[in-house]
Amino acid sequence: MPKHRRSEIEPSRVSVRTPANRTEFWPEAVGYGQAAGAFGPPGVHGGFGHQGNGYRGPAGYTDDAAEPGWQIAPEGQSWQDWEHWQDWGPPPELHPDHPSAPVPRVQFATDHPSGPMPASRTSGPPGVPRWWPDEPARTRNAPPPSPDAGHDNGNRWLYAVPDDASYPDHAAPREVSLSQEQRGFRWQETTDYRRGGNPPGLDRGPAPGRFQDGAPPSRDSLWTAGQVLTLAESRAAQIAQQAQDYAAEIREAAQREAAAITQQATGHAATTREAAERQAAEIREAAEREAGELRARLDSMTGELGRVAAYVAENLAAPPMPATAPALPGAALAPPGTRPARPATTPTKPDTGPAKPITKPTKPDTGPARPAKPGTTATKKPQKPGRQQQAMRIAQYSTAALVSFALVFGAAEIGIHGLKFFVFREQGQGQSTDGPTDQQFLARQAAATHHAAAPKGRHHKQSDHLEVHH
Amino acid sequence: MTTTRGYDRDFYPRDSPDTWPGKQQPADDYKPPADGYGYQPRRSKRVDEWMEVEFKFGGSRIKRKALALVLLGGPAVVPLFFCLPALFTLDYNTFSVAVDDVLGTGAELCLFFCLLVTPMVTLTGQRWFVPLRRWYGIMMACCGIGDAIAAGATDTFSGGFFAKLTEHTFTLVGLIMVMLVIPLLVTGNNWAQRKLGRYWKVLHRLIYVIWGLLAIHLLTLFGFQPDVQVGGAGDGDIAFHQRFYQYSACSIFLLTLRLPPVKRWIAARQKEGRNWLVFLTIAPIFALFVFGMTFLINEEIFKGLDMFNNTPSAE
Repeated sequence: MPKHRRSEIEPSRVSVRTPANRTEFWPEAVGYGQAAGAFGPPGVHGGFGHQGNGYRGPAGYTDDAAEPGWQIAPEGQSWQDWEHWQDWGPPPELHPDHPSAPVPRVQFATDHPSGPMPASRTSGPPGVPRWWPDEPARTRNAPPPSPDAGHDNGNRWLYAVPDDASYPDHAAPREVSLSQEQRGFRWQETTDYRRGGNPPGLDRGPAPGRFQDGAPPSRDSLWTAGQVLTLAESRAAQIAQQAQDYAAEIREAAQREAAAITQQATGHAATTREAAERQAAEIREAAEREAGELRARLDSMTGELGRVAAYVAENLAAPPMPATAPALPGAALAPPGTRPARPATTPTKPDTGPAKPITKPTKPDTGPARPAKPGTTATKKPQKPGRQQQAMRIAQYSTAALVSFALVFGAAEIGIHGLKFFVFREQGQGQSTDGPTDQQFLARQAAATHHAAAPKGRHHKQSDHLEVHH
Repeated sequence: MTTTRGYDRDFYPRDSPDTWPGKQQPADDYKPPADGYGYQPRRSKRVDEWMEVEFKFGGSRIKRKALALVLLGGPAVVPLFFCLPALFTLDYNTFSVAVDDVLGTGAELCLFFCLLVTPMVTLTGQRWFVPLRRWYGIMMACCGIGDAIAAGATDTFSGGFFAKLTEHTFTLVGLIMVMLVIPLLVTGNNWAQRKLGRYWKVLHRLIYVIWGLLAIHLLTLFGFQPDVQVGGAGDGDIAFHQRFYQYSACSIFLLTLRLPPVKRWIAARQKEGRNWLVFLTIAPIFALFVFGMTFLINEEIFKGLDMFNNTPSAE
């Protein structure tokens, strides 16, 4: 799991750092009986690189000169064959959390706030791993607060505890050497498996020592192992530093390259923008020029048309038409846009509309260069009736024809039968409940007319007087 | 944030009292929009939307509006329906006696229903029944033309077809009305509307000419003497058996609600949310309209049924 994904809420460093069992406390090859097999005085360290002889050294680790004072173990000789190992004392105490460790598994100091444990550890050498009351609680990933708080080798935490009670300051880092080990330092080591280690550069250098009194000299092997781990850490830190340097170089080169590309792109964009602006300006100028020409031409045509219309109107209004039409005042053209002079008399409407220009002005290609509306109204084009108006006219004429048809027929009936019959209403029609019918009315009317027109016997010829009976 | 809280019921959100210029502009000067219908309350718009909803009818989906329009437009064909037996049997006597009353009264009814649509839109704000205006106009034209044809063909007047239609005042006025209604009938469709465009409405204002000519037609035919019972002894209510008074009773309402000041006043009251005041004011003339229409419908039904039974009534 990446380091940054860890939960912030984690068990305290104490519980985490405390090894779960003895195998954590001691590496596999450093068991109970073989605990210090790989550690010890000069010669023990030579187990590196030999199969089955304690700690395995890195490949190619044969040069004893790399670490003076150490000699390589003879081939085929185990570390148990050495005589010194039996002088190393009893095997190290089990870690309190080890399943086989005696209860209680955690031993508090006497001055611990929790007080002494009810049952003290009875077996094992002094200097068993204990809880350090002065150690602050830390998170899992936090580096040690002080150099003496422990050394992180990537997998576990090593504490060097000075045996000397008069050790003044536990926080002071201290270079632990072999001579110190021989002076009777005792080691206490707690391991802490970590899924991710601190940056290598944080805990560079030898592990700070913290000693407790009463440690046998045989525990120096642990110190040696710590030294080995410290050296490995140093190497790892060096490699990490090299990698960091290399990464920094690559990053700088990439940044330089990116800056160059950015600069180049910026320059290119500026060049392109300038070219585009220049081109746009040229197009705009050309369009404006063309529009101006078209506008001037249109204005001149408009003015000319206005003058022609005024001339025609004036001549039509004049009573005698001259035999020869005067030439158009082409030489004295008024400036375009001026309104033609209105004739004194109202001109009669010519049969034909004002002359249209022969060539229509070409529409400019560019949009904004729209020709301005001419200021003169003399050349107003007579509007052709639209289709809707035409349809309306048809409807109007049809309606008028229909109504006229009815009116003509009505007038004819009035002419034939007279107004009396026109306003007459026969019986049964509307409010007329009684009275003559149309036929009776017409018969009476005809009879009356006939009676009025009939001759009066022999005296008819004697007199021109016509008696009319109503 | 826009909210409808605090608005009156019949107001659109944009017509809230805060945004309405009634404070600066008196309500009497309120001018309705150019569509001629004026302000439409939100409730009326809701009715229109409800009418647009489809429902399942006989395996197909039709709008509620369509069903309502069919139900409301159905009576327009009743006058023509009454004439069918006489037409199928070519009963000359029935046509001669009763067709004038049935088709003439039917045309008058259709004209009034056609003219009723616009005032109802003004009053209620609902517009779903506007298509009835065209339908009743078409049926009015059909009834009028049918009446003219029947009168020219079967009346006992003297002369030929056109002579019968033009030899008296009332017949000539009737013929002019028929002549005027012909262009309206021809142009009463969408095609003609597209062809005529904005002139369509101008042309169709001829309906008001017809409306006025109808008054002359009725006056010359029936007179205006309220003490003379039309058609012999009746129910004693002489005046409302007079066609001109029926016409007048109906036309007062239709004409009043077409006057621009009245329309503005109604729109202003509706905008104020006082629609009740509009209804209260209009109620008397609306009652008069209903009263006149009752006599007309009564006339139509009884004369029509007589004609349908080939026993025409000459009353």
